[in-house]
Amino acid sequence: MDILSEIKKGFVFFDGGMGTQLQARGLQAGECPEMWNITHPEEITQIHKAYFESGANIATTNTFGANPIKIENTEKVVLRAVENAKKAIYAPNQYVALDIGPTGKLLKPLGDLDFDDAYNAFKATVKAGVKAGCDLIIIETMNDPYEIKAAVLAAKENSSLPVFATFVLDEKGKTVTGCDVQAMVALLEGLGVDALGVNCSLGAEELKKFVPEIVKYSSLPVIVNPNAGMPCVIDGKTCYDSTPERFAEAVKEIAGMGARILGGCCGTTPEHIAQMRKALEGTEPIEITKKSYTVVSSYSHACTFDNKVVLIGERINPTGKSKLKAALRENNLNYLVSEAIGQEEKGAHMLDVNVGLPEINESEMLVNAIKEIQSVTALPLQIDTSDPVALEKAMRIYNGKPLVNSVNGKKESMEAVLPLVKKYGGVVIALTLDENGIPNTAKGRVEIAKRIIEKAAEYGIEKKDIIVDPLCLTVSSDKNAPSVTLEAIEILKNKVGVKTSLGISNVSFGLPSRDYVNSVFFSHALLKGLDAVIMNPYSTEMMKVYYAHNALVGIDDMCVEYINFAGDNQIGVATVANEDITLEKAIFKGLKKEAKEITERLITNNAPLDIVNDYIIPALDKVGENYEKGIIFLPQLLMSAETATVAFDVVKESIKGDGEAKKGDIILATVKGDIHDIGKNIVKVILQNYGYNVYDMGKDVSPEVVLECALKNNIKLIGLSALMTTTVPAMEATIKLVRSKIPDAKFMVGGAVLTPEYAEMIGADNYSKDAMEAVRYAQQVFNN
Amino acid sequence: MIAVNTIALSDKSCLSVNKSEVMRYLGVKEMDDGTQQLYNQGVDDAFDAANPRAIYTKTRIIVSENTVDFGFMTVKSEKLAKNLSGCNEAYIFCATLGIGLDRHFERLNKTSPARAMVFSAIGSSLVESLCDYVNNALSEGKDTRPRFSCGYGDFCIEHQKDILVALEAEKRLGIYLTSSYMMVPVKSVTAIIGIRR
Repeated sequence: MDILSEIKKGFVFFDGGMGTQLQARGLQAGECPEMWNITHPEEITQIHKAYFESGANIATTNTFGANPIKIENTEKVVLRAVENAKKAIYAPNQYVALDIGPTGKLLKPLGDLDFDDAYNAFKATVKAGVKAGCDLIIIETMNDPYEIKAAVLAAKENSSLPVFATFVLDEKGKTVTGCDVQAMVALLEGLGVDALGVNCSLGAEELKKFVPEIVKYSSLPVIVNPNAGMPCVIDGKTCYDSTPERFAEAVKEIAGMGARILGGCCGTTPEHIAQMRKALEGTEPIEITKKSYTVVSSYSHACTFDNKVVLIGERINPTGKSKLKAALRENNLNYLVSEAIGQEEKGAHMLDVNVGLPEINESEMLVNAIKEIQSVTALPLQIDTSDPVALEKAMRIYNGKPLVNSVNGKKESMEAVLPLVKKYGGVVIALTLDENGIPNTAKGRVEIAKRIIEKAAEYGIEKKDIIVDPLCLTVSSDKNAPSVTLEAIEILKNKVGVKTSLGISNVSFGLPSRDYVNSVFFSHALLKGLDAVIMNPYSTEMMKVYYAHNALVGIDDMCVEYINFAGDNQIGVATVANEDITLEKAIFKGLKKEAKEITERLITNNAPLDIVNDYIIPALDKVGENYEKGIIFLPQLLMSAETATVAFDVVKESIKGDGEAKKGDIILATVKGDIHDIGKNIVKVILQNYGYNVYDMGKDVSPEVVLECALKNNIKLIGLSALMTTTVPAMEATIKLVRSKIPDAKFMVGGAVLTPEYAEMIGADNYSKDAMEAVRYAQQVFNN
Repeated sequence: MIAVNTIALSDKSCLSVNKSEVMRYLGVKEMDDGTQQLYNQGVDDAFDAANPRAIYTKTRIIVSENTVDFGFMTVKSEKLAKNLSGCNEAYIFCATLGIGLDRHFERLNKTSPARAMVFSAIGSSLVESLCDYVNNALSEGKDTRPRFSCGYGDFCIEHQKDILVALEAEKRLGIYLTSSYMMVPVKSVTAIIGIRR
């Protein structure tokens, strides 16, 4: 019998805490508990044995911190740990779980650990555990969905063992990184773990209120390993406030809520496990039921396709968008970021991300774009690519369970996409076309949908993880096209029982005022039960339909959302620009919206360069002067600079193309080890305002990367920033390395801990106290 | 292993923003309309994003001329030894506003450095107010010293790691340390409060 069969049969019991048992046997504060596997093997075996004797089925190895990021000799420690646990086994229903705890580092973008480095650390532990012959893997005490994803992938790709995963909730029912239960469950189920749940942090009595939510969403066996109550301090020692009896009573209630795999965490002892087993004697576990939610997730929350239609913003897709194309060619991810935030502010629930252009490396760009977009928005993403290589890379690094756009009825497509959906988890959009094209009839499209659903089932993908897009063709070339699509939605919903989605805007291709057609078609599709729509969130017509529909069909309680929307978009009230404000004034005051409107007006009867030279530059000069005189301060200078950027953008668009000459090329980077780059970003905005072309390398940038960019683009001026004393040496190393290849490169440096003396000592040419000083130095270097 | 307590923070009423402190961080001598708007928005955003939490421990200490022995770490620092002179016990606390502020900051940092910088200054003031609250709660009825943090004077920043590990701040509060000893969430503080005999 194996552990998975045991679970099918009934309750399975984990052991309790390891730490307290080690301390009781003499582990000192500050001593590495994992080293005891080597120095005190008998004691470790005794602990496991005591837990087995108290009724546990699973011994958790003493390897919580055994990964190469935390300790040396990972392999040796793990081998010994598994060996020590196996020695304690005396009955056939006793198993050894390789314990994997967190790395202790936070992953990027907020922390400094690469996803791949986390994966490799876990991989080392998994490989050693497999070699030592453990029976299963338990990934536990995880705070961060991204780290848990790295650990599960490492476990599944380097072993064929059952994988269990548990995360930590705080008293508000979320992880400390802000992820909710439904999102965690979606992620873990998608990744294909065998059981999931929670451990640590709270006692059984506190944790029990979150168990129903886990059970509600999980189709897998649920694990609950609580602490022995809440910590308290008695005589200078941490104790837990729950007796074994009270612990056991609370765990019994948890079992009654549907948890099937039970045990203890911090502070629990063999006595807790024995009492728990006693309390559950004669009790049968609740049957595990399959859940039918169609759900995707981000690192913070889930998005469910049920009652309200899901709005998927379509703006991050280069088709027909020259500005986005240009941004992608220039590797300008800032543009994508602003499109992401803009769509979120307009009310999108998810964002489509498509960066396919023939002349760029799509895999690389898609990965970078997803990382960048996930650093500014918590909306779940739809990964949109026809390249399976790019799709796999993107699904791997995506933080959550993504929506995949798309698979179709072609054999080649299904064979490429479906295995990835199975492996990484995801919901996939299925387009109803195949080798013979798009059928003309609803019936034909439904047949393809059914074929995709069948094929997906062969890969182990359930119908709930498929959303069918029955495609809509242009009404201007075929008057019956929309009816066919609507009919297909109806059949798919009611007969096939699958979720549906539409890319709406194709219907109006070739017609004037397409929004009118799109929005009415959208409302027809909603009445047929459409579940998701790929659309433009900036379209007021579409949003009107969304909010009005929800109010009319009774899914907008008290019409609150509709009223809010209508308040922001008062019909018939046009906004009138204030004629009194000049562009200069708008820049002084940092009024971005006004600056945009005024520049758009000016552009109709002024030469673009005249606007720059007669309005924007003089205003900026005055702002800069006022700042240097201490009349205005940094926030205002920045607001003015950001406003000038808005005006510049309007001008640039009218020039279309190369037009403007730059005053000089400058690299800006926050050095290796430093993950805070606001100072650099401030300098960047101001330098750009003054006409310099900035290569923004970002934060935590290694010397090699700076050198590579400098060589490639023939750069003579480099600005480096560092915030911490601990990263100034990285600044010095960067200067040294670049100078060794480009002797005449100039360096300006800045940052909280730097001084002119320090700057000189590390070999910089200039210490810039603030952004304006950086501008002045650039003017000196480039002689302009 | 040392005993760690949680400070109960039932809501965000323990937090406040000190406007003049924010202006000082920003180098702003006078608040013009534009900056005032950034400030108002920043305060709302920061309160929304904050999830204040704090833990502490009380430990015996041995203070000599230039070292302090905390049991779980020994610190060589004249300034700290001076601060703690006459004390045989100390509180060590960790406080954080949570990762929500980091996420919001990242968003602003990539779209509006002006807003980002004002928001960050407000966050600093906010976490100071949290520390004041914790400090007051711990000091009540005791003769305590002004709080002291690593990175001050000659108190080496590397000890940040010892403190976070000893208090299990990663597991309890989600405070992580980068390889350059920067805490994430950024608006987090660890500090030592000496208790006089």
